[in-house]
Amino acid sequence: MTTIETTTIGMNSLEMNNLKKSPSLLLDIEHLSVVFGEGARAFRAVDDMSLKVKPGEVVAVVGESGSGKSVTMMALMGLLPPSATVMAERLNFDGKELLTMPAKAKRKIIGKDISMIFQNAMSCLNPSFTVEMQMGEVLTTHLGLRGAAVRQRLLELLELVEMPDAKNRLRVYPHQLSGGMSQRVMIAMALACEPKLLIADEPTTALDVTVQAQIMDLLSRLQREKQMAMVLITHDLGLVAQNSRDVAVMYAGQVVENSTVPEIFETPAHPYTEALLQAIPELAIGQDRLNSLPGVVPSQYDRPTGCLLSPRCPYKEPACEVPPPILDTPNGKVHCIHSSLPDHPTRTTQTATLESET
Amino acid sequence: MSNKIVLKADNLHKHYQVSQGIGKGKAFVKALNGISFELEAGKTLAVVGESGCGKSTLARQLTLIEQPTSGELFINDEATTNYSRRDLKELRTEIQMVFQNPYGSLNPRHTIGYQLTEPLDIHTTLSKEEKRTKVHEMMKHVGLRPEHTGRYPHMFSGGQRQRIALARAMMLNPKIVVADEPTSALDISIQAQVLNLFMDLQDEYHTAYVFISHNLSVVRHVADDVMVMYLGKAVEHGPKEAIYNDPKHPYTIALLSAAPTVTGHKKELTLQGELPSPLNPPSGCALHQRCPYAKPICSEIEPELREWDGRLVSCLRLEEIYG
Amino acid sequence: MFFLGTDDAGRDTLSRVMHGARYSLFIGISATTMALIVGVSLGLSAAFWPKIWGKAVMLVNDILMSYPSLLLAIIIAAILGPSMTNTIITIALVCTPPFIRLTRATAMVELQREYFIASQVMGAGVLRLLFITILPNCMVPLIVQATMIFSTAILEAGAIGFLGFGVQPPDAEWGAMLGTARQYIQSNVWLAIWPGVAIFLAALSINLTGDGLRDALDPKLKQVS
Repeated sequence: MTTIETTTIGMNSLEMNNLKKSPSLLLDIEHLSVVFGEGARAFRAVDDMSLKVKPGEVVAVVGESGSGKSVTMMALMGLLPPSATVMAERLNFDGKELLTMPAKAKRKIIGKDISMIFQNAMSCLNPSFTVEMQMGEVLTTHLGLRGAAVRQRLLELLELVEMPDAKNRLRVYPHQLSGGMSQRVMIAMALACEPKLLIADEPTTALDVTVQAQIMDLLSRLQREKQMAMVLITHDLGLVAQNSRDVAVMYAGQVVENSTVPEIFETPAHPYTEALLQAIPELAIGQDRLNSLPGVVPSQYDRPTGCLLSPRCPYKEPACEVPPPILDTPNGKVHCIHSSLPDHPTRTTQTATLESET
Repeated sequence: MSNKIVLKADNLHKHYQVSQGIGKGKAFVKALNGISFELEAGKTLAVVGESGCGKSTLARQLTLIEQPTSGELFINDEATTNYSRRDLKELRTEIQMVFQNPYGSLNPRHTIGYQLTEPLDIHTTLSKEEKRTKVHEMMKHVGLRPEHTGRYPHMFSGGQRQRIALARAMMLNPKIVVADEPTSALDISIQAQVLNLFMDLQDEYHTAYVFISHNLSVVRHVADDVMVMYLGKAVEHGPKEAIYNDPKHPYTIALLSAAPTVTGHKKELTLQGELPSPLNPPSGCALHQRCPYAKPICSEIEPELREWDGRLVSCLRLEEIYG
Repeated sequence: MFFLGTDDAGRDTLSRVMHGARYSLFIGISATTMALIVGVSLGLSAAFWPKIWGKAVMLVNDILMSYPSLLLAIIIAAILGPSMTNTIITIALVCTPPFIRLTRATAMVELQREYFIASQVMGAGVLRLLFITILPNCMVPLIVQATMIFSTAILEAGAIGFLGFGVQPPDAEWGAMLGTARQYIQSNVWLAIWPGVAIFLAALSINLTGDGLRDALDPKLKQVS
């Protein structure tokens, strides 16, 4: 069980629960932080992260490894190990405050109204049980179905995810399925209870390109049909361009930019977003070398005091030694001292730079 | 700028025997079905395909880990089949490999200094000092600090390990480096750094690369020629610009249009169904069950690679599709 | 002053227990080392050439493992005569199969790893591949196994000595001392207890050392210097 503390401002938990949040926001995360370990070895995996999702909307969370994008959603779902401390001002889903909710009530929501699918479907399915047994478990636990009704619904679900030859796939074990098929099974399990929000954590990264396209098409279609909100966690900006409307870019545990598609590609406001775009080979056709930021993401031992990107940022100035503010931009927000990229950047295309100390 | 052909594959076939259990007899997996290409010094051939297309098998044939079932492989104009163990050892200085998994391709129990010195230990008779100097030089070349020779692989990040792997491959200055998905496991910005490093080293050492990947945009950046593989055969093979600007084979078009894109695709095509099992390949053209242009003739005759519009394509219906 | 008393011939038990340590430790180390060297070599080669050589090795291995160790000791003692050397040989024979099995199993996994293929592509010869590339990666379970085998060896030596097939009296070997003490259990049980305690403490300390050794040798636990 993770330890959850609230930092309410002048209200106790009872008053917080009574305060009905307006349903215009399905998911309202405000100032979420996750710390692993304690004392000198404490590591801030997520730092003051806020995210808002409306019903039926698709929001992409983009970042590389170490950005904290997966940890955020795992914190929401309560899937973090006991060494993690979750702190937030608000962790609201559908008008209900998840931070103060008792575990039993939370279990009724997680898996039913909020669902999650993961990157490597093969390792998420229990190898000792057949597809029918695992999917059936979701239905019996959350919907209370039994017997023939379960089988009926299972077939419906498999057809929904376009599983070829659904009837014969019920009795197979996960290792007998291909990557694409096991991902379809996982999507079917996630959708079994018609969730209002689906969190997709790198759903296609481990799949072949053509299968990726099939699965993303499927997810988009289901999202539109069911009017389901989706948080798409990915490092692939192409997926973001094709599937979402709102984007949050994360770096080293912080949200550095909120924006919309396609504006984020045309006018990125944060230097890290610009660097991500420049590192994509697709956008560098004809260029001899890919522009890349020197250095690596700060580890827990060498985090800068001010802006976390400043050791690598090409626009660095003395004012970056203090934590930057969150400014408004025409398309969202940016976490930087400038509300848009300065003109005439001095970019160096350093390639084999000496690595900074790890 | 020399046009010397450093690597030549001539109709490589590789079949594996697979037992299907007691009493069910043996089956054959035809992993490679006639692959041919020529690679010039300092150039990059990109091999593109999804899982099951045979690209990993091809990597194993090229790096002399396995012998092909039939066909011939020439490294520096020397035929490699029927080579004795001793001669193979010499040949290995000409062709080296970089792997996909930065966490598996370095020996966890040896320091990186030792692992970088190992190629020199095996193949040269240099003194300890000379080896040390060479190792330090190479480390600086790939952007690592020479003081770190005493560290173990787990102390480095993924991007740094790929640099070490590349340094190790380049220690003997091979003519050819086979890179099997070297950046697939890395983040985008680290990928960019490592790709740049690949290209820098190629410029400096004039090494030829066989660059295996499933990521088409990465390949476009580094390749001179592109070979698209499906179920062990090459379906399209030609210069980079020809393939990307105007792909002809339906599978190539499907691959390109399946890649998530920021800028949009020139052509679109979706394939139905899934990859057939290599144990039971389709008759005729391997793609016919999934191809929107398939006609009955496609299930009967196996197409051969032929010249079409500046590249090689294997499709029976090119004339009808493109007029 | 006889701190632990005397035995049936009036000899000081404490001195005999202390002397017995030499035998037990020597037998233990020799047998374990022999088993280790032979077992690791056979196990690595069995993993590397699995088709014919590997199958042959595993067949012999399984036969050896199925044989009760004490029976083997009796047979060898009967053929070659009871002595310390033959005890060592017997115990080494009996303790080799676990090493073969463990090395082969670990090596089979490591042979699939990419660093092994990388070393092959590098042009490393068979000896280098087996003993420099693969073996260090099998060491951790082997060290733990070796210490367990060491303590097993001491126990086996005790059993063989107890039956009278090992070190012969008047040499003070713990097992032999236990054997002679059998007659005196009713009158002086301490004659049996002290050698038993010695065997127990020796085996326990070796097991604990093995745990510590394993942790110390694992590079993954080394911090960045």
